[in-house]
Amino acid sequence: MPETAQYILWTAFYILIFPGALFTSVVGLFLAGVDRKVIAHMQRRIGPPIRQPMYDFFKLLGKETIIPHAANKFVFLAAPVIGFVSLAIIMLFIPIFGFTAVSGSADLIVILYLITIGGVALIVGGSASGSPYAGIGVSREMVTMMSYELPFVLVLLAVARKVGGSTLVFSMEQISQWQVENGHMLFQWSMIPAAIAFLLIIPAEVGMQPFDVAEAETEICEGPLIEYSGAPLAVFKLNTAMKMIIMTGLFTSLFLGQFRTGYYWADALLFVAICTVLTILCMTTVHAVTARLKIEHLFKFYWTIVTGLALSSLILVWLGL
Amino acid sequence: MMFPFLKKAASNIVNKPSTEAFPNPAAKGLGNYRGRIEFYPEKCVDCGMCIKVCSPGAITREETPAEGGKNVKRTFDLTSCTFCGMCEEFCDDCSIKLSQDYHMVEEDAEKLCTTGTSFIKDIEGEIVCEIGGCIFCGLCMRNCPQQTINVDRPNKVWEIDHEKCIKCGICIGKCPKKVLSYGEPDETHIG
Amino acid sequence: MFRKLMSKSAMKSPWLYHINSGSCNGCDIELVACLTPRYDAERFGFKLAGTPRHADIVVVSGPITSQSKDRLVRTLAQVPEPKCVVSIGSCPRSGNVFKGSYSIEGPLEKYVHVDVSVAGCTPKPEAIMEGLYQAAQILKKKREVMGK
Repeated sequence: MPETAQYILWTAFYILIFPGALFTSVVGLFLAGVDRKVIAHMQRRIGPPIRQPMYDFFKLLGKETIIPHAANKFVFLAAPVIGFVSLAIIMLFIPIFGFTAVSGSADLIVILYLITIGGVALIVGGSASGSPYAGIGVSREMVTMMSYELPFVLVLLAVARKVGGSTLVFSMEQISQWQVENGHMLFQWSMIPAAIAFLLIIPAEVGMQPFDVAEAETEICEGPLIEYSGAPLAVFKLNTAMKMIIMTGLFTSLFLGQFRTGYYWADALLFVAICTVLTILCMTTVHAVTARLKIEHLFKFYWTIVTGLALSSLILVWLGL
Repeated sequence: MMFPFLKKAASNIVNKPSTEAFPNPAAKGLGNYRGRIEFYPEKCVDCGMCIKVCSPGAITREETPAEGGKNVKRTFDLTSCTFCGMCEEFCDDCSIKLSQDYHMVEEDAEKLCTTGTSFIKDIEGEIVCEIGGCIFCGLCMRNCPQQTINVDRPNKVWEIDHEKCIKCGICIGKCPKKVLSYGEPDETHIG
Repeated sequence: MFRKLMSKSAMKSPWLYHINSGSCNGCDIELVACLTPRYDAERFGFKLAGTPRHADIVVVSGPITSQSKDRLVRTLAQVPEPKCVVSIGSCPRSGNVFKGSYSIEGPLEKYVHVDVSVAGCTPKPEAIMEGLYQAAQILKKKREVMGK
């Protein structure tokens, strides 16, 4: 019996605190703050403090929550929570170098689906709000998802094939172990196009400029989020921040998984540091130097250049290189 | 180059931000910036020109009788002002000045007002013109805020409407020959 | 403690929603100038929100034309509490040079309580910043009242 109790306690700890909800939220908000600070400096501004997204979050919790008449109340309020839960669970499957909370044989597929739920929550919430602007935002969000899902799957397939050799391996732990033996995935030259494709997918997945067509605030008034206020909006903002750590974290464990310090806390610190660097590299810098794309340009970009990169990597891997 | 700002963005991280401090007490409007209205009531002669030229009607005048004259309170409503500077331009006594102070932020909009009470002494007599000295140049006519004076140069006519005259005395100051004064019309003075 | 954190955050992260109710565009560009690197309102957490539902501070410019009156009133009703209204320039307070026009339905005070007025035609960005900063302090007070 004590073993079962211990198991339940540890699972609760994993889900609620360490790689789960709390860790993901705090690090996600930290990354969002770093993003805002660095982009301010890139524009020669002072910028908000790094804890600014936390202020935003708590402020939104303290605001009145308005539910529009046209909205489906239950779906409207449930959508952000569903997104939050699915995103908090993803982190359990991503190994923080030596540490994995939950591991199975098909982690990558679970992660792929759970990340999609994060996007689908936005779509469902937007559709439930009953605003025409949200309708446009939802359709754009769908197109964005369709655009990046294809290269995303191809990248994951390439990784799985590379690790499996002649079969596909979707277990994160095995991918991690393979990298300990064979060096970083990033330095396998056949995987370099896939890594670049992954880096290009990150901003679209998170919804950062220039791929924030779905939430274009100057154009369609924040799209799916238009009717949200107060606590549900806070959760959606938190979801966006969490996606930052999840996507950069996924890149870190897929492509830079060789690091081992031997201590879990040092591993976690190194993990966060790498995620910060990746955030600055592939989100902040891209945001600072580009303007928002049109939806058809985004679609074309992902289905030609990014898919091409991912596909070339997959073909190279399939050929055994 | 596809991303022309990439280099700039990278170099800006090292550069110091170009942001000004806030609040910045040293910040001031530029040379001819027109900000908060300053009013010097002791100089005002109550000619009413400022009220006439004010396009949004931001200036109001309130008159209360006092011993030996009247108290005139002028209110410049800064929440109504366009800061065009016409009142300053038309003020003959330099009693209105648009300063360079732009800190006009209040929670209570009633405080966004410049007020001043000037004492206007009652004046004995009317504006009169000395015959012979007047050259009918018409400066008094042009500067009169109430358009009470009429000068007809070819016919050598100088007329004044005493009912409209508010005795501001601007014409006295403007007369190049110094022939205007307060007094009663007689054989040497017309009025 | 949680309440204290929320009231502190209300002051630290005020999001703006800008309503142009027939403004000449002078005040609008000065408001946008506040967000430029020179004045950088974002260092105090100010951010332009895309929809009134996300806003804390509603910034109104313009003399409220009869065409925009309806939209203004409806937009103000959509802003969740605690909210703050800031008027920029002379127009919303009085109508400025358009005072008395058949197409003006001002002043703004008729429809909503204006928390902070910034005078000027147009005000300098520094003055607007000062006004927004005062509005953020008011937001904190309002949040504290709301929490009780």
